[in-house]
Amino acid sequence: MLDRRLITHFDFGLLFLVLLISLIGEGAIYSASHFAGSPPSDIYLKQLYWIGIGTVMLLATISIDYRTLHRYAYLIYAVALGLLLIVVLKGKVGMGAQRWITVGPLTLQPSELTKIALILVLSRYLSDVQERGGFTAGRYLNVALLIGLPLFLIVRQPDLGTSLMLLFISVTLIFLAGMPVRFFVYAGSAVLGAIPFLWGFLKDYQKQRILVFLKPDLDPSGAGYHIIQSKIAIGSGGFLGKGIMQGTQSQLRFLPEQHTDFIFSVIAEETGFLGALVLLLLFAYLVFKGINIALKTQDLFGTLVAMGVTTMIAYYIFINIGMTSGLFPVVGVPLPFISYGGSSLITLFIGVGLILNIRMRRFHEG
Amino acid sequence: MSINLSHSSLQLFQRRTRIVAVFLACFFVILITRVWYLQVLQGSFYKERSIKQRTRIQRVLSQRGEFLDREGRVLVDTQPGFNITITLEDVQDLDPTLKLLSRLTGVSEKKARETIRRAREKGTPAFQPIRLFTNVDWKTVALLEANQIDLPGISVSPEPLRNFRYGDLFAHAFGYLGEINRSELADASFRNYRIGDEIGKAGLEKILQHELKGTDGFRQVEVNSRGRIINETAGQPPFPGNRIFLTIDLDLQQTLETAFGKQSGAGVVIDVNSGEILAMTSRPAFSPNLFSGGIPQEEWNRLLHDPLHPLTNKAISGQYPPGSVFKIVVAVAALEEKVISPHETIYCRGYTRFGGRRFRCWKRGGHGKLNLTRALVESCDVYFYELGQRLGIDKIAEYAKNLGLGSPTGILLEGEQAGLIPDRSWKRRVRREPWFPGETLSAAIGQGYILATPIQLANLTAAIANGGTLYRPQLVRRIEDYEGTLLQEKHPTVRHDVPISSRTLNLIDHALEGVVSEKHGTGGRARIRGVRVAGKTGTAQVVRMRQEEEKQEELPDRYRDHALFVAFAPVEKPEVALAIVVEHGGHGGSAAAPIAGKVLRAYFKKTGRILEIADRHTTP
Repeated sequence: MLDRRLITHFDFGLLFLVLLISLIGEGAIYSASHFAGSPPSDIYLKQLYWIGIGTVMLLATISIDYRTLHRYAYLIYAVALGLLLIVVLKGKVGMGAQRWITVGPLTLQPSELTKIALILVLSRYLSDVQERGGFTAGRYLNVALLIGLPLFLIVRQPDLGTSLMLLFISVTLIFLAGMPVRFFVYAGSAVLGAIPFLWGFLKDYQKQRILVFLKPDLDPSGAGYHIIQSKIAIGSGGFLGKGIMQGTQSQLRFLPEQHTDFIFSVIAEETGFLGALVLLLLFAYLVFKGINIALKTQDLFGTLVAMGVTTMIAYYIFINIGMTSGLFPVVGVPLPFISYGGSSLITLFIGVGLILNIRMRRFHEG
Repeated sequence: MSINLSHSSLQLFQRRTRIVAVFLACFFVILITRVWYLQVLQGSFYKERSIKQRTRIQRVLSQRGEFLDREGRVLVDTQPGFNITITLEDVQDLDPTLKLLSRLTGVSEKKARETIRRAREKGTPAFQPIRLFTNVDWKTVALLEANQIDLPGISVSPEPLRNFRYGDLFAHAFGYLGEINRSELADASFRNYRIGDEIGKAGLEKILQHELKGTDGFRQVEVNSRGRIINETAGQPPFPGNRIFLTIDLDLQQTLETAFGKQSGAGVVIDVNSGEILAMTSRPAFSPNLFSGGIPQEEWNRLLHDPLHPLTNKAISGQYPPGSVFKIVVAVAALEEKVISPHETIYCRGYTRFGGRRFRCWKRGGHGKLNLTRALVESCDVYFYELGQRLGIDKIAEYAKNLGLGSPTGILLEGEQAGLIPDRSWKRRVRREPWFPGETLSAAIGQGYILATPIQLANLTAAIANGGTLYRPQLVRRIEDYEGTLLQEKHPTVRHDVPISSRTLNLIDHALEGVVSEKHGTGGRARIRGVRVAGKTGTAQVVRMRQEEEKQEELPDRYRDHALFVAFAPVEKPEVALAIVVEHGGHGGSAAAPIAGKVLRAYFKKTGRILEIADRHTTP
């Protein structure tokens, strides 16, 4: 399987870029987890360990021809759904939500795997539809079912961030697969009309987050605190930043959840606009590398998978930085490769593995 | 699986991929713009906010200056005390916290709740500690520290506590401390003070506030989001307040206060050659320590409504008819005005008739024939009725005012009263009546409208003793900073010299010595073996007697006369003068003179003029 052609088509640049961003995250976590006046924390070591595991998963993903994954897409999807069901039945509750299941020493977050599974299954189904002559009413319904089942289970956990991510990725894939534009107009209007109805399904803390986003100064010491402190952290970094490990907002614990969701604020505070710009450009480079690979892929399945993973990474970035800089409401979405946390890191490395996989096999006749 | 897509559909995918790419690119541009806006355009605004929220300026209170006596013995200083504070922001659940706190401290939960409610009304922010209880003892502090874990938000804060080492000693002059109020805060001289600060509210503590205060220091600290101090970034240590060396002598002050016992009244002991107050008291007194850290309301009400007025400094604010003590003034006036010669005698048959009224002498049987000396020694009223008539009220008033009566002495205390020396113009102006000749007779024996404060009487006596110099009584000898550098030395201040001939003074001195030393003298109880003491008794009527029927001893206390006694010693070279007023004490000779005797004995024992053994023999 692994002949020389595969190695010549392997995109070392992309792997290097991902590892570079992960190491920047590693440094940010080290800084963010060291508070003035507290004993040092070792979570940066745990993150290093997750990067290692992620790299192994990435290599494992490359080793399987993506066309094999095409074949097993429905199976993977079914497994993901099954895990989500297990979460619903006997999952672990944390932070007011039920998201994890424990297998031996491991704690898994099946909603993460679901992202990959949904990208695979939608890419498979949508490319099949194209092959069989385009959309019909029944096929629209099938697409809706494929998206709706996991979405329903994840919304119930509840995990607003992941639900939105899944929705955005799915919509993007449907758009790319050629669904008529008028469909998006109808769907968009329907969603807008459904907002007041959906509002009732949100948990109190989710409603709170959205309300406070709209007016953070209503409650500066309470729910608006996160947004205000994050903006102070980013803004006070100025052009050059306060210096690594010198961020007062993070060192003095004004920032909430600073090594996970608000890690960008730490980076922006300590390295300033210059550091934030470098990080954003690296991210942009990563995203456009992904798009470029998708454009050069000759089969629709590969194009859709590459675009699915790429847009997933991009949406992570937009929602996270948009949230920390006060553009979006606070929804729990990590900054890809940077935020502390094993589950999302592994999903991302598997995703990058898929892109690399497609890149090196796109000319290879299986 | 299709590998080769039709040309048109591939074009569709690529077009749509490019649309998505442009869409994503837009988002990156938006994010970069947003970060640029926050960090570069609004950077300084957010920088300021981040500095503001992590920097706190803490004041470091200066230590209040001490009061010392003339020999440098510390009378008032500052000791560490402990307050219990609550920071609402850090309290998770108020009810159980207050319950446990009340159980540990023994103070009612209701009181704590009330304090919190009031602080909230005043708009105290949640992160600012509220003082719940002040001045708690060590045991409570230890209990609270042991239970710290169950009491989040509750902390023990050390706070300096004013310590009046001798309790109520010299209380009225010291005054007391209290929390600064709104109108004081608005005053320019208090611009460095804050709500909750303790300042002198009365007495020397108030008058010398700015000497005693010192200069507060500050600490600029960096705090984390929970308000915990992480490090100190700048600071300046406080500078303690100045040390006030008073003119009083602790031993003499204690003797004076002890000598009063449970009697109420006032006493002033003065150095005749400088006007320095050696001892001064007003009875009953209060302990200024009660005020340290806030006086409880019920305690305050008790002091305020006590019929014996413990909060009033009677030594400077108590106005009493001087009674026979005033005869000194009349005698001086008569001799100086030459309306009588020292040898002329007047016959006392127990009363005199004037304007159809009988004016009695205190001795019903009459004194018989007496000259000025005898009249002073035996305090004959009839003799002085005669002098009064010869002088007229305006002359009497002139001499009284010259000797410092009728105007404040100018001592460094608030609330001093002027007393009252009436004359014709006063009567017309204030009472809108002419002066009746009979009133001159009452005035001549120190009754009627005449009022004087104990400090005026002591000062007058001192002026007689030192040959006619009227000093401004002084309380502060010198002021040093806390390192002992002399800042101010207070020199005696002469108000004016009273023109009295030495012949007159000699005569008066001789007569006043007789008051104490002679067999028929009214002030015999102030006698000390080995020291020549001069004095004059006085009895001030509280109610006008319905003729002579009732005896003083049978009257209820509050209608009994005030007993007065003034004295100076030693006669040959006077050093010390004093005035004692015992309220409702009856006769000056029996109630006030013994106190004077004890004080003078203590004074001369201390200066080595008399020996302990000699003292024992003189005590009756």
